[in-house]
Amino acid sequence: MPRTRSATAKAAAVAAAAAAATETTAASASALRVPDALVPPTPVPAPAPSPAAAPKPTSARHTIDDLPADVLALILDQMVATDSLSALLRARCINKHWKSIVEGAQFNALYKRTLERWGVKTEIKPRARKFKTLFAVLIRELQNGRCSACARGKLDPTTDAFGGRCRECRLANFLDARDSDEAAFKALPPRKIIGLPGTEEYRSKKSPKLYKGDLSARLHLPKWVADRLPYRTRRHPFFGNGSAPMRLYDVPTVEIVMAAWTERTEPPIDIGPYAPDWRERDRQLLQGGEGQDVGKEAGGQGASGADQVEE
Amino acid sequence: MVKLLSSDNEKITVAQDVAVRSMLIKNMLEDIGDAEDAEIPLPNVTARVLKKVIEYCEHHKNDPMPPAEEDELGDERRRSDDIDEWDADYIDVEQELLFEIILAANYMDIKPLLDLGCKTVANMIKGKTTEEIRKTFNITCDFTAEEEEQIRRENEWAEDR
Repeated sequence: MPRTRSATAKAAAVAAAAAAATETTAASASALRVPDALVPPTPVPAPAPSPAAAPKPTSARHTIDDLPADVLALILDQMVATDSLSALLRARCINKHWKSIVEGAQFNALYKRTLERWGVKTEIKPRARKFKTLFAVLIRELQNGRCSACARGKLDPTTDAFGGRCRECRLANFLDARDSDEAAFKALPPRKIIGLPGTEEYRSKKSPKLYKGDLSARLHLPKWVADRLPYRTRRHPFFGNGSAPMRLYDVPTVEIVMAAWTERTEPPIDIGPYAPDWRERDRQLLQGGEGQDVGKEAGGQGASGADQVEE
Repeated sequence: MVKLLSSDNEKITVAQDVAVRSMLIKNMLEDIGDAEDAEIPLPNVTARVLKKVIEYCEHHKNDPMPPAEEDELGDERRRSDDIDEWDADYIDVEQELLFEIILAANYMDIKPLLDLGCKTVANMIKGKTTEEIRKTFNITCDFTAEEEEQIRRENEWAEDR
């Protein structure tokens, strides 16, 4: 008998625990707002003989809006793991519920991690503690020019044309497109590279190629680009077998890449030994405004000067 | 064996090593000790969903239990494309059932199943525009035109062009 009573008591305890768990879940679900339009027409329940006895069965159709906020946050967290932070931030546009989750404290750990990786202070000042979320800090950083895809560093403020992505991410996307459709890639406009033939002892004057060193030292492309682009190898005529083979890149391919990298096709890039740094000239042209006839250096600089006078 | 009682009052008997994949049931069993006849009520889970959840637990009954505490392992652990073949077939269900499974996994505290459900939904969201996401999940936009425009403007830097 005592055993039976104990078992009954324990069974009652289980039921109470289950009910408590139900209440907790209901409490978290009550924070959800289910738009009326999404609630399917459910039959009006007939008055039950013993309404207080049985728990209410969950027979209604479930939609994504029925998920508790912490589960929805888990889903968005999974999405961030394989996509970019910008995908999470775009989810703010879906509706007010999603916006509140993205901007809420559930993602504080992610935002903190991201901000720390960027070297931004994540300590919340005492007077701002009521906000409890680092979202505002994150979005301020991003809007001040942080790459939304790789977040490696601050964007150049003059590269507003890259739409929130740093140049390296844009170029990486561009080269991905090249891998999938080379014919379309070759049809893209190039940015001419001049000052090239005869500047190096080993360069062919008839069909000049670019060395790997040209890509980094003269064209100032990131090092990984040299590995992504097709190249031919040739044994070094001076150092022979004792050194790594030279990498030779086709000029037209690199010219197309440079057009994408600099987002302009004019003026040509002069990499001759006595040419001034072409990047400085690009900066001047960019400050002079987009969409000008940048082929004429004098015109570009003139426009820049005119803008300054107007200011 | 453990007896589970679904929200629609259906009794389902499962092996204990299968049932304890749910931390909720495991904790309850620890509480009641040796009460063999006790039924564990699951008032938030219908029999249809419970059977589906048990199917998952049976298949994964020999897997190591996930760590109790959430750890900060970074993004590698959370990649949403690492779903194995059986799991992918298992979770290939209509949306309504998918959300019911997620809700049940959350309620019954079955972390791997919850992760699987979340990964599946994340994969459904990935690469879609806001409008496509709303359409896929039948979500109503409750922003006014001005509010939506404001958010779009704030997010402008993040949009792919």
